Amino acid sequence: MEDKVFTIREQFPILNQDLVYLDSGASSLTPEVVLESMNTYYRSYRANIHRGVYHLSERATAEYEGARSKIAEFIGANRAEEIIFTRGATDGLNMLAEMLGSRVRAGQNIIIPVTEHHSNMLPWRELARKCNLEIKYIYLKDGILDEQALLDAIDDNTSIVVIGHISNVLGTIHNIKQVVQKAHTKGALCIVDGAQAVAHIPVSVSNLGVDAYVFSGHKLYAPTGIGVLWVKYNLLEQLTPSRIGGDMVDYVNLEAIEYAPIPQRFEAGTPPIAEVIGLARAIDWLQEIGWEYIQSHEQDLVQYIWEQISARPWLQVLGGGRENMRIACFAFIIDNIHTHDIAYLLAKENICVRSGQHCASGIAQVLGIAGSTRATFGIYNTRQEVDGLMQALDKIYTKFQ
Amino acid sequence: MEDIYREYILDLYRSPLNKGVLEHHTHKIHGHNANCGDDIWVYLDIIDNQVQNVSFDGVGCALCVAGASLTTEKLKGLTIDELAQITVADLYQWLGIEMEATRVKCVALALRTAQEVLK
Repeated sequence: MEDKVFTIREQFPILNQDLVYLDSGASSLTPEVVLESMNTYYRSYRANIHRGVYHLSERATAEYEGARSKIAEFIGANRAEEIIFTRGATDGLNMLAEMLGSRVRAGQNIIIPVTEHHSNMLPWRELARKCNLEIKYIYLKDGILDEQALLDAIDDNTSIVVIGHISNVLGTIHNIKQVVQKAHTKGALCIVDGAQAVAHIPVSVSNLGVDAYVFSGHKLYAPTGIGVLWVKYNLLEQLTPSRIGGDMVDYVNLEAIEYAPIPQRFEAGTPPIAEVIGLARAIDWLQEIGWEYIQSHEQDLVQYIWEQISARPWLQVLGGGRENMRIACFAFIIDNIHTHDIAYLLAKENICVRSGQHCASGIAQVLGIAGSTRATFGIYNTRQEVDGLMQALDKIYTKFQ
Repeated sequence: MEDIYREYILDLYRSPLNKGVLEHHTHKIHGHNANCGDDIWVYLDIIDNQVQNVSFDGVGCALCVAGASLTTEKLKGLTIDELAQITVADLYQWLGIEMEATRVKCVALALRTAQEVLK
């Protein structure tokens, strides 16, 4: 088991240096096979998609559309056409919030947990402002999202419920299924930000029953600049594209426009083709390793980290205790040491963590803290790296006493 | 560990100087450093173009708080022309150490905020 992680590490050229990378929650590293897949595109069949009749373009189109099918399968979508390529989770949520403007009515409410990343909060607040929706924030209970309060808040007047599959600060996994069930009994849509989930737990949008799901490639060992917006087909049929232009029309003359079928109509302009190919390769790579290994390795890290933390009472972890199911994402505070000082001193030992509010200021605000230091772990992290982090934290703690 | 976290700076962080709301003030200026979330208010009591008293309040990292402690200490009694002349180099001299680019914003936040009074 421990040997396998070292085999995996060898596939990441960036790790061939003195580096303890504990910021995969912000952006994960990219394995060589993914880089190669993009290089092959640029070196062997670089061309635009859906246009050329020559073989390079045909191959590029085939790879691009093949990626769509692969991703659909990866997240348990019923149809490949439900996959819309975006720049990332933020982009997908912005598109969705724009497109749903026509579906909401003034006076309805929208439910937003305070735990949400800004990307799954600000577009909805803007939608609420433009369409006169009431925002119902859902707060914390015992350090984590109060899921019962969320269920209770959904009423006949609710238009949309948004929720992160996994909190990017607390690391806790939300019970999406029960939120969807309640939302649907009240006629509301349930939209899920899966940015923190897809690299760490198997996801099936069909099984969850959600109406829309977004994620980013760059947190999934894939390149930056590519993401996925998945929307249930019968909802997609009711939406009007928020971006229009090239590559999304069937017929245009100076008087009329006829949009291309789904999903092309939602992908205006030349997409990031190499990145789509890289994303598909990353998914292949992840599936070759397999969920069984990924989850057992990462949960082993979670247990090991808890052991280390319990020996250090001065480390206060956000998101409640061991009783809460979480991925290997640990945000913590140390009394009287500012989070930025911690991150800076860790950086001096080549340990990369995130500090501040992690684009989820709602959590800091309701907890009354300036921020936290966050260590997030991925498929390539080891127990030794946990030890390295803990020893460095010991030194910092001692220094500030 | 990194030298910028020397004992002198940590002392100023643990026991900051001139921290808290200044009851009699003519100016109250907000300073924020998005890099690390330092968030402070600088209070100045300026009479006849001279800084009579100055304090800061808020939350910041060790370098921000140490920098604010020293800045407020040094500003007392200065004319606003003298305040305008102060540079980061002066700050380094007071602290006895230079900062790398990423941390200048922290250590100089109070100074930059106080100098807003000139605008």
